[in-house]
Amino acid sequence: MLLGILLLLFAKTQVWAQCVIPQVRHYAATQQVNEGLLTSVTLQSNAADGNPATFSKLNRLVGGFGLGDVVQFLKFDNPVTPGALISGGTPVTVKLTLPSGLLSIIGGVEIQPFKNLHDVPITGWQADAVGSATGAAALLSLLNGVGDQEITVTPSADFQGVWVKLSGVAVGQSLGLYDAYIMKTASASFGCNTPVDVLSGSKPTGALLGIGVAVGTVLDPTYAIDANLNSYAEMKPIVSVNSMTYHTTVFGSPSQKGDTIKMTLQNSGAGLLDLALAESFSIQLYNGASPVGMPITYTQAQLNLLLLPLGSNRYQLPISPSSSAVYDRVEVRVTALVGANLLIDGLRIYDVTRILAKPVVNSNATATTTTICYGTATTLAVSNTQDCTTYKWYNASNNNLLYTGASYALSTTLGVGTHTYYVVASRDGCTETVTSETSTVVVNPLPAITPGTGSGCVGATSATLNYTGGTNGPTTYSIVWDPSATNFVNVTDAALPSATAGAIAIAVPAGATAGTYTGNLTVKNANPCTSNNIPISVTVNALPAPPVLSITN
Amino acid sequence: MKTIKAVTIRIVVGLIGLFFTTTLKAQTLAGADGVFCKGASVSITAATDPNAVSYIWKRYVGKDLTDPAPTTIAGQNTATLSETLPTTPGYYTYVSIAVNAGACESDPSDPKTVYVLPDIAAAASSSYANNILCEDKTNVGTLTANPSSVQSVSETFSASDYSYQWNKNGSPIAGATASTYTLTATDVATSGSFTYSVTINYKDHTCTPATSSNITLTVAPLAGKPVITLN
Repeated sequence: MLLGILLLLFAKTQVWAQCVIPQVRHYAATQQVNEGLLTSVTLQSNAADGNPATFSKLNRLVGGFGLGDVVQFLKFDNPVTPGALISGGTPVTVKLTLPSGLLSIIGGVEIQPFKNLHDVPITGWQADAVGSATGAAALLSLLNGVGDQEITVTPSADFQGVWVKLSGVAVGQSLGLYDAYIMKTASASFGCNTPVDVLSGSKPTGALLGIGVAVGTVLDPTYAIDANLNSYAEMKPIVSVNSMTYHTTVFGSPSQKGDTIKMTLQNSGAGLLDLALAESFSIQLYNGASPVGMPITYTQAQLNLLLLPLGSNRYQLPISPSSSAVYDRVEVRVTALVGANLLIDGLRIYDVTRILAKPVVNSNATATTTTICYGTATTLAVSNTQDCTTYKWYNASNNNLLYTGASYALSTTLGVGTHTYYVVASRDGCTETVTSETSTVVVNPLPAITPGTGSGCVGATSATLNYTGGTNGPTTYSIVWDPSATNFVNVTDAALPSATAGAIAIAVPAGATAGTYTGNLTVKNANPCTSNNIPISVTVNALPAPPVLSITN
Repeated sequence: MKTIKAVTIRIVVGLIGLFFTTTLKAQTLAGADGVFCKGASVSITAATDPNAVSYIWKRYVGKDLTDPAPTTIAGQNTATLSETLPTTPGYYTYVSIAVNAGACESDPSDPKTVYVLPDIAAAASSSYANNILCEDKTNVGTLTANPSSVQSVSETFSASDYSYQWNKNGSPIAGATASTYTLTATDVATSGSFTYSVTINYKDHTCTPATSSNITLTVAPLAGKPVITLN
């Protein structure tokens, strides 16, 4: 095709490499319409208001002979170079909503990039097409249901905007046009995990055109992502084997491995919510248009769906996708099957949030206390590190930043006492943070003694090593002799006579000649902490000669 | 060296009824390097050793080192031991152990054994008939000293191991230093009653002497030459 438009459903064509600065939507902010005699566009400005929850409505009640065409132009301001065209190759996504009846006549819908939008007297607003239109069979292949849809096209040449036209066989139908947007690099950190949009409607369980006219609906879909935890979107499925109702929350950027989702749900009916019985309930993750993994059903225990009761029959459903899942949208699917089905009355979605993985320090998900001895090398490390996530370690006592990185090696000179830390995970380029439980490190002091010079005698089996200055409660001692101390036997954790001062009996090997023997002594206390090496020396003294006596009478 | 001139050993051989006495002359007081009076002080010196910084002195009861519980003499840690000997007579054996700067103790020295003399018991006997002598006459008899010692060990002493001083009326008699005393002509030149005693000491050691109780001898005046009348 001349313009080589690449069409992708749900696809933002930016393939976001990991840790690339996240992108945000840049909505078309200008709109014009060209209505025919028997067509209209109502609520026109909704298509260019930057709010993906509101839409204009293209109405074509009667068609024929081109008189009934209706077009709405959505024009972008160039976010980089004001006034310039948008570079070719920049994907443009159009969000629209299709009534079920339109599917059969989808050939009447056309999406076309354009430039040179201008007003022509009499004929109204016109523009020059850039590349090929997307319509007819191409659209049909891209659509996956009725309701909210995103269609992404990639113009191969510079363009100004995109128009949506309702014409041809699209008679007696209306089409909702929410917005069109391109992606731009965020100028500042933003809420990457904040839902930015909701898509809802019905999907066929089989062939698209077999979905039928009667489908389920979703009421107030955006209430699931507003800041009000008491407002809800309500999925109203119908009993149908041909369709299922969906509610898709779109997040600001793709997740990183390890992010989790939390939903607050409620059975629209009187009963409690028991998803274990609601076999028609499932979760499907997407990254752009691509499904991530298979649909998650509640009965698949390994998928970590667990309803947590809240108040008022509300439940929290934490979803921990597989660690490798990267997704930017989560879709709730409900099918109202005939028979016992707890969701026959509908499912309320109060809230959908995505959160960073709470940092787990040294594999302890709860607040922990680690006791170490002074001088011991200790590292606090995030066990569940996530890509593109920065970890900052803080002193809990004064909230001072101590270190940035996933693994914080504490100083070996960390003072005696109690030190409490926490780590804050923040997604690069995003505003979200999550704080770990605290990790407390208790540094115990090392025991010590001050030995004198050991002294013994040739032929004796032991020498005496006096010591003073015992501190921090030493209870045992160990001795490692230097190699030169032949036949002196190392001692391990022998009882120390006193915690403060006393005498250690040094075993002197048989045959030890007069001289000085050296080694290293350590003492240990009950914590247990072991002192640093304390050099010792033991002198084995030669015996004096026996006295020669004389008596004075 | 103190010698004891006579140690009498009596050996009785019962089966044959043989009886004899053997006297050992001038025998060294067996194993004693020094003989001391009771209550005396002993001084023992260890030869100077430049490596010794102190000494340990031990005293064993007996003349060898078999005492299982020798006494380490308190307060004596120099090269010279000076202590008051035990009051119990008998043998005592001293050793010294040198201690050097490293608190190492030498083997014990060769021992020195001392002997503490026992107290003396003094007695005297008279062989004068009725302890009455005749004035200016040659009287038959003698005074004999009977020394004895309070023995604590098997050592025995002979008369020759003692020194004697006879006293008359409490005053020493010049020259009367033998174990016996025979009253002289001077002694009987004057009639009257006189007390005699003997003071005994060890011959070679000036210990505390012992004096016997008095023996009273009466020098009876001669009756006048009878004047006889033929009736």
